[in-house]
Amino acid sequence: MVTVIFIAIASLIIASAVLVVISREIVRAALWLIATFFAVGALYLLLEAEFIGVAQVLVYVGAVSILILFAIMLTRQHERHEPAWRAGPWWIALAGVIGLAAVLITTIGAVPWRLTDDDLPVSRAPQLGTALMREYLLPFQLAAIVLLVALIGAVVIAMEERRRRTPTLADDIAAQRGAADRAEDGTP
Amino acid sequence: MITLPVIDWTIVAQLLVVFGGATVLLLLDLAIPAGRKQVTAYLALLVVLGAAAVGVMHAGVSGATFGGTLRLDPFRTAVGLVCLAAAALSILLAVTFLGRHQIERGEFAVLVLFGVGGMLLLVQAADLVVMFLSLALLSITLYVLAGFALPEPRSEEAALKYLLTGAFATGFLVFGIALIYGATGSTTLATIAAAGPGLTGEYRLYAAAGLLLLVVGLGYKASLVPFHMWTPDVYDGAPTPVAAFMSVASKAAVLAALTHVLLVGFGELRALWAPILAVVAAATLLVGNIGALVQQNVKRMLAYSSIGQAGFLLFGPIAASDRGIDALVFYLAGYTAANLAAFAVLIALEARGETEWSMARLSGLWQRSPGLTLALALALLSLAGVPPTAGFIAKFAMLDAVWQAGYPALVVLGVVTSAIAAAYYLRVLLRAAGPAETDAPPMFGDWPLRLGMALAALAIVVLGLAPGWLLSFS
Amino acid sequence: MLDAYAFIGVFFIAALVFPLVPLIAAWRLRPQRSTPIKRDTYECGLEVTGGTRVQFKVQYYMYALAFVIFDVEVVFLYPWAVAYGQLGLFALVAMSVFIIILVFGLVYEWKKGALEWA
Repeated sequence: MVTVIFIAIASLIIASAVLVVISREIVRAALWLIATFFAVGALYLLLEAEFIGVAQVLVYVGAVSILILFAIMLTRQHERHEPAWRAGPWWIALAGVIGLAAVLITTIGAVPWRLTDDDLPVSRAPQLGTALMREYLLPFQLAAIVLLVALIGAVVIAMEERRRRTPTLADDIAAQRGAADRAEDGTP
Repeated sequence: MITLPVIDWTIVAQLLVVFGGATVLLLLDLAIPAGRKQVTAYLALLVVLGAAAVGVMHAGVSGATFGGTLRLDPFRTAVGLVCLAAAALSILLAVTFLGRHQIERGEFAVLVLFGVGGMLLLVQAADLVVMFLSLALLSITLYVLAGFALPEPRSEEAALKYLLTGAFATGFLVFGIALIYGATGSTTLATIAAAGPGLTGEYRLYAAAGLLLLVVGLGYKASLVPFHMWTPDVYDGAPTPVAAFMSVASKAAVLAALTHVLLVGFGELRALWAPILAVVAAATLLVGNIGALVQQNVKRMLAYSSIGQAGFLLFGPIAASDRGIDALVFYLAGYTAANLAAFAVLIALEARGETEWSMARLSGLWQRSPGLTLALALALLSLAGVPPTAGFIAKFAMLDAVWQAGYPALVVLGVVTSAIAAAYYLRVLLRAAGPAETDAPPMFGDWPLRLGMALAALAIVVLGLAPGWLLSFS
Repeated sequence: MLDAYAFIGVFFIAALVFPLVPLIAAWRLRPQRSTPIKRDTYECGLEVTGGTRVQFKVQYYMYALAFVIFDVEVVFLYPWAVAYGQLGLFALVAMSVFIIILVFGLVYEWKKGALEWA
């Protein structure tokens, strides 16, 4: 039963990940990426790492995906474009991916993984909490500093972006209306 | 009651000064009016000097804290001091440059502080997770700093290229850490080393694969061939003081981390990684120096030259001896001083709106400013390894270390590529000594820039004439 | 453990079937005649102006980024809160440091005017 569920989730992950790469429209690629994140969260649940699964959904599906979509909507690209994989010699990338996959699958298959029926030390929220306060105290505090610097960086770059702001939808419509009005005035 | 981690405050003091100073300065900067952002830069300089003072007091101190994930020893203290010196000099070089280019903002100094904090952490880390986070920290600051001249399209391009290649490299790094954790059950270097001999067939393969991915990830950051492609574009597009800072400080920190991973974590697998690293070093030397030979743009030439220098820096971990480590510290110090001095000369000659740093702009420099020419000559001669500069002793120590370790081919290659390097450095100097070809570009000689340049030039000479005190320190 | 999810799985399948059935039924039953007006974007009955892809203001991004950062903070807070009983005062100090660092970021962002919509 677990195998069936795993295969269902895994094929969902693979299918949506492939669609991320081959989608023509970047917004669709982003939406498929969200589907991938979600399916990975389901995989964590299957591994009985509930907290990690919920965190995956909360952070990646809930927050990072919004950031990705907003970042796309910030761009100026209005027309459809060929997806990136058609721009270059994509068969090289494909060969590389297949080669990497072959190496990884054979290596992972060759290793007799140490399996355990016990809970892993950091798979559940209380253990995770104590681990964060003990072994991982330094990485934990460091994460706060990394987040702070990311915020500073975004402000530094985005405030500059704002200073030379490009027209938004409202400006576009106003400009179009203005052009239309002028056209009407010009041709009585 | 669960025992909580005992924090050794002596060891973390330096990091506390840098990160505390950076966060306080971030808020303080909000109160400093727009025209007076130089104040922020000088305050940041004070923070760096304070951290360096702590570093000097750390001389001879060894220890570990946070469960052995953060360590201090003379090597780490020395490389940390090199990073701090690079940060201090970069701030001095940038203070007036930013205003002149109308990109003066308080965040610059704050980001340099966070960046150098990340470097110190990367140097002191003895755990792969801490290394990963500190690398992320220093990378994010450098992405933003590379794009600091943002309305400038080249700066924007540099930031984007650096971000994309850097993110790609981070993927390798994380994957490598995961594989190593899967094989050994730990991310702490000492535990990985202890688990090493007990690893059987498949696990050994796994750890080795993880190590290689880790080297790829770090190799990107240190711009080792074949992961160097981003370097010329990023150095060329980034504001010149940022390029100067990146080319020395991040390289020093990443090389120290690489050395720790290889020698402490995977010393046992030396038979595997040493030949690979020797090939990488050879490729880096050749590609960097031959690439520099054909450049007409001085900033790109310095970028390729810094790739070539990274090849020499790899000799330290390849030698895997005390001699090699000492040579690495000395090489880093000498290279930092020389490269910063060279970039300082470019900064002194760079007016706003310059897009292409063509070599012709250096022509006739001797007639206009003997002082600048002298600084440039010292810097380039040291980079080429001509006595009596620091570069000569550094190259000599490195070649000696790899010779002792049994790599005569690398010694030959090091000498040959140094000769190639001397050719393109001398070409620049001959241009500077010759007649002027273009209209004289403006020169800038404000005191912070002069001070920074003079300190760097002084370091080249002092390290070259009296190398003993630094070697005795580490 | 996993049996508990079987129940959720039933709901999941029901949630998939529920919208799919009417959609497929509508697709089979409706007349397949297309006109330009039918293919037009539905915009609450108004006439469509401009394209579907518009450029957002950068403020959206700033808000989203602040949201991500504090979302991550919540993810850290949860296991900390669950384990707090065993940890004591030290954990309170450690978490306070973590939150204060992020609050510094918020103050900075606020004072810089990055959260202003104008």
